[in-house]
This record gives sequence, C-alpha cells and structure tokens, in this order.
Amino acid sequence: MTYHEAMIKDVRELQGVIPFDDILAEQFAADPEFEEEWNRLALARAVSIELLRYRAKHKLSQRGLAKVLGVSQPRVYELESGEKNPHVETLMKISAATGIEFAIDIAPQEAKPTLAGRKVSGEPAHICAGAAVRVACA
Amino acid sequence: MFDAGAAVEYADLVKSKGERKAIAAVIDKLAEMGERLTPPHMKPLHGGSGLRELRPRRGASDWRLIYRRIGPGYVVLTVARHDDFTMAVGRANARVGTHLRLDWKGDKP
Repeated sequence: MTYHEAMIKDVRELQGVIPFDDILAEQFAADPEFEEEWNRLALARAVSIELLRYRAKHKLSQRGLAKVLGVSQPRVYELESGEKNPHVETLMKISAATGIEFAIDIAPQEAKPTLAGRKVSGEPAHICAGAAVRVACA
Repeated sequence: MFDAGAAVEYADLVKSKGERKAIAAVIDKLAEMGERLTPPHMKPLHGGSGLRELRPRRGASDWRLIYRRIGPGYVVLTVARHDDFTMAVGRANARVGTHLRLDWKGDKP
C-alpha cells in the first residue's frame, strides 16, 4: 500500500470527507471525453511532478530551474502545469540537465507490456486512444 | 480529499472542462508533493489557522481551493472564485472545526 493509498484509507474514515479520486471517478463516468483527456496527459503530469520534486530537492525557484534547464521561466511553468504533453526533445533536455530518467511504455490497451522494465510495467496504465500509457520517472 | 460542502461547490460551480482539468492537476500535485508543494501552486493564508490556498494554473485560474492539513492528509474545505475570497475563508474556517480530531497526532497548523 502506497502512502497515498494509506492516506485515502485513513481519511475515508472521516465523516463528511470525500476522496478526490471518487469525485474524479464520478466525473469520468459522466464525461468519458474528460477521462480520455486526463489519461492523455499522464506523461505531462508525471513530468510536472518530477520537476516539482527536483525543485524541492534542490531548493530552486521556477526561475532557478529555468536556468538549470536553459529555458525561460514561462516554459518551466508550462512544464509544471501538467496540462500539455512535452515533446521527446524536451524530455531529452530535462534528462541531460537534471539527471532525471524517464521510462515510457505505450502498448495496445489489452496487451501486457513486453518490452518495458519492471518499474514502468508496474505503473498504472492510462488508457487513451486504444493504447495503455505507463510512465515512470526517477 | 474534499469536504462534502466543497465537493458540492466543485460540482455545482466549476462547469468549464478546462478549469476542472486545471483543478485536478493542482490536486494531483498536492497529493504527490504534500508539504513540499511550493508557490506558485499554493500559498499559505495569513492568520495562523493553517489554511492554504491551491492556485490552479499558478493563480491564472478564476478558482481557488482553500485547504488544510488534517490528520494524515489534506482536506479541501471550500472551492470559490478568487473574487469571493473573504467569504470563502470564512466558510473554510467554519468547516475546518468539523474535521479536526483531537486524537490525531501531529495535527498542528
């Protein structure tokens, strides 16, 4: 059980509190297009979180991270927003500048990943356009 | 985690898919980063009650989510437009008391 899952279990016991996962699930059920869009942006969110972690670890502002990456501060904001998938070239640039490693597996929705390593295979699958996308960062 | 009232506000008031996407993205950041989430994605609120605001799209969104750490996690206490902020803080303060449990260790603002 991850920390996040344990937290959800603990907080479920509180009265009058609803896990956001439940709210999101309801939203997905009511609007499958929204779910598709959410899943399509799984890579964007993973990159966003990894950059936030990097900034926190190195005590950097967005401006400081921009300097490390050799990009503008608005570009850092865009990457941290998690609302737009980055290009492969951007991931290469981030990896070279920060040492972050990205593993992305894209496979047919029904198929089990056969090429990916254990870490990325164990990540949740985000279903979009008939494919399952799994992302791991370290 | 959402206070039940905040969940109703989110469902009733936030109609734009784009805004919902931005709100979901910033909540994802809070869930993953916790105390390490820094401005501009959040901002502590003055007054010592431990309230903070989540700022979708670095504050460029119309919406704000006021939240607080309670026990093991974070609870969004209210969802409001940023021009309704004073009333929203009042609502959040009124709701926070219903969630605080004295037997939860480390539950300090």
